[in-house]
Amino acid sequence: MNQEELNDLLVEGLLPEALGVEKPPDVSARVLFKVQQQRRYRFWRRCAAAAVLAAAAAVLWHAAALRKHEPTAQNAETVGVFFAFGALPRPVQRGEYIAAPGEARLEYAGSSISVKFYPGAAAFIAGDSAGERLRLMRGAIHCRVDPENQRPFVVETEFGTASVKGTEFSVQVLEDENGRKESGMFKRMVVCVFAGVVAVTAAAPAEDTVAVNAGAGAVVTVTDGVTTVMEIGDTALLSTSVAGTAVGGNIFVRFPGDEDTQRQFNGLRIREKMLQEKQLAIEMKTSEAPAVAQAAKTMDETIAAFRQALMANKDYAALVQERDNLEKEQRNFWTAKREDGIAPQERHKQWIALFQRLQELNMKISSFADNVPELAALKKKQAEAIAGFANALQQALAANAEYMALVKQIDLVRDAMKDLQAKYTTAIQRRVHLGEQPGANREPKEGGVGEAPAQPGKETAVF
Amino acid sequence: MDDNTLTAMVKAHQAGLYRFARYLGADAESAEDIVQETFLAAYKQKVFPPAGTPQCGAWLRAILRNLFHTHLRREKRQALFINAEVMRQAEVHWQSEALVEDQDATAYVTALRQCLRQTNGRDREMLRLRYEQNLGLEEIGAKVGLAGEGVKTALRRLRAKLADCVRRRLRGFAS
Repeated sequence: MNQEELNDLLVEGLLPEALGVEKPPDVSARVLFKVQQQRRYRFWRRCAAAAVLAAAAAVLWHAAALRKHEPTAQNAETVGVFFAFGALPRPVQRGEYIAAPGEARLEYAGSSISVKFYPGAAAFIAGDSAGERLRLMRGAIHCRVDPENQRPFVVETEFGTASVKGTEFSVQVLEDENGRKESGMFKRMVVCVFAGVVAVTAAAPAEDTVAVNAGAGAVVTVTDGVTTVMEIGDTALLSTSVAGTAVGGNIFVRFPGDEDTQRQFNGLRIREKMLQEKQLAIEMKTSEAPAVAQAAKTMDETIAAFRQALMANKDYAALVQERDNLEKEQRNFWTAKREDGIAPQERHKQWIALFQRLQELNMKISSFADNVPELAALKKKQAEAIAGFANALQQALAANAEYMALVKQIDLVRDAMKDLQAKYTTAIQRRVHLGEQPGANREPKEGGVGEAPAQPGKETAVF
Repeated sequence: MDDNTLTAMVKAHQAGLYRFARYLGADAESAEDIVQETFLAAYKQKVFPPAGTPQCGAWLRAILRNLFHTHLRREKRQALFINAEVMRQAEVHWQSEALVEDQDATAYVTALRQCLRQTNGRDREMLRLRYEQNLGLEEIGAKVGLAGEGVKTALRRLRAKLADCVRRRLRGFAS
């Protein structure tokens, strides 16, 4: 661009002002206003960041506390056998994270506690020799605890706990379809009780507890950071919500606007249930086989011997008693201290100290047997006996051709179900991308989900 | 930068920046927005020249050029100054026209106003129709009896005359 062109532009740019049509505006007030607005925004952003950091620190602290609660590899304890449909049973240890793609069940050795995992459920096996704790991370479980079982059994979630001694109940952590925890009524932790009594306690700091009787349920919700527990008089009420998955034992997978896919999926689901029933029957029959029954008897005897020796130890009993007292203090902490005039920060420090003492005590209880030679030897025998039972059962089942065929068939059915879901999701995404309403005025034969061809080269189930 | 410094900077340079933005081809509304954004961007800088100095003016114009360049790219507009190199030429030209000492170009506008008084008849009418009433070339041509292209050429010659006149006046002041 030459000098003349630049001169021309300069004159053209300034001519309106020279002609008196416009004049440079005074932007000082606007600039100052914007600056102050940005300053305020930065202030709130810093506050929000501080709040997020504080929340993250709290989560990390709780996670660390949870880890403390779990035993290390050194004192890992085999607690039972995990039966996943579509797989061979295997022994599981305390501190293990268990998750199953389909239905599964966890049988606690020597405790008459049976936990059914619905598809998608996952949990940490916590607890110690004084009592069993299962930390449900996601999904739904159904627990059967023999009334004769005297060992405490607690199911924990991030919202609260369900404590029992002999009952049958289900616990579910609800999530939305994207895997996020939902919020609001009926959308947190749901407990349904089918037999006996379950104590449902909201997580700290509320620590409210309700006793839920058979035929009733409870919902633990979190609103504005405050956990509340509410008893629902009739499980039928809960079954109308998504909690129906836990109550009815059915997983409702919906394919809105695609009846073909829905029909195919329902058929596969029924097929899966039938195969699972057959698998379960073979497992039950196999567990009665002489070699397996002998292993089970040995397991029961060694578990009983270990527990007897443990409970006879006065130091151990004192530790358990101290923990019971601390847990009681923790449960009543917020309600008991509310009106004593202590500053909230100070009260929170006290609560943290109490929590830490409890964690330390849990660690001591968990590792107690490891530090007493006689108990350590019995604990080792117990672990070997449980593993021996699981191995004996596993070998017997692996040798059963019918059982192994069932395992493979269940896998194939699950693959087919996953394919249907994936194809449906792809079709929905495509329609949304094209701006169509899902399920609206759709011709199934023209690219419908149900009409999608099978993937080439992929093994498909024949039913 | 505290509020007092910012206010002093805005008062000293806002008119010059606005005129510079208009020179680069921004319309009145965009020029006002870009000037405001320039000061907000300057406010975020930790190091800055003293307000009211030529260095501060050049620094602010550099910020404005960058913002205007981004603005044009965002708007996908085909403008003369879309090229960063041409924008630098514009800065050199702005300074060469004796505007360095006159940071807000008031003297240039005053000289231009005086030169405009020397125009009369059809020239004055064409300028009024173009810059006061924002009429198109064809519309102006219909009023003054010329074709659109004729109006365009006439206006360009007129601006060249005005530029010469302003330069003579400013040099006269300088001498």
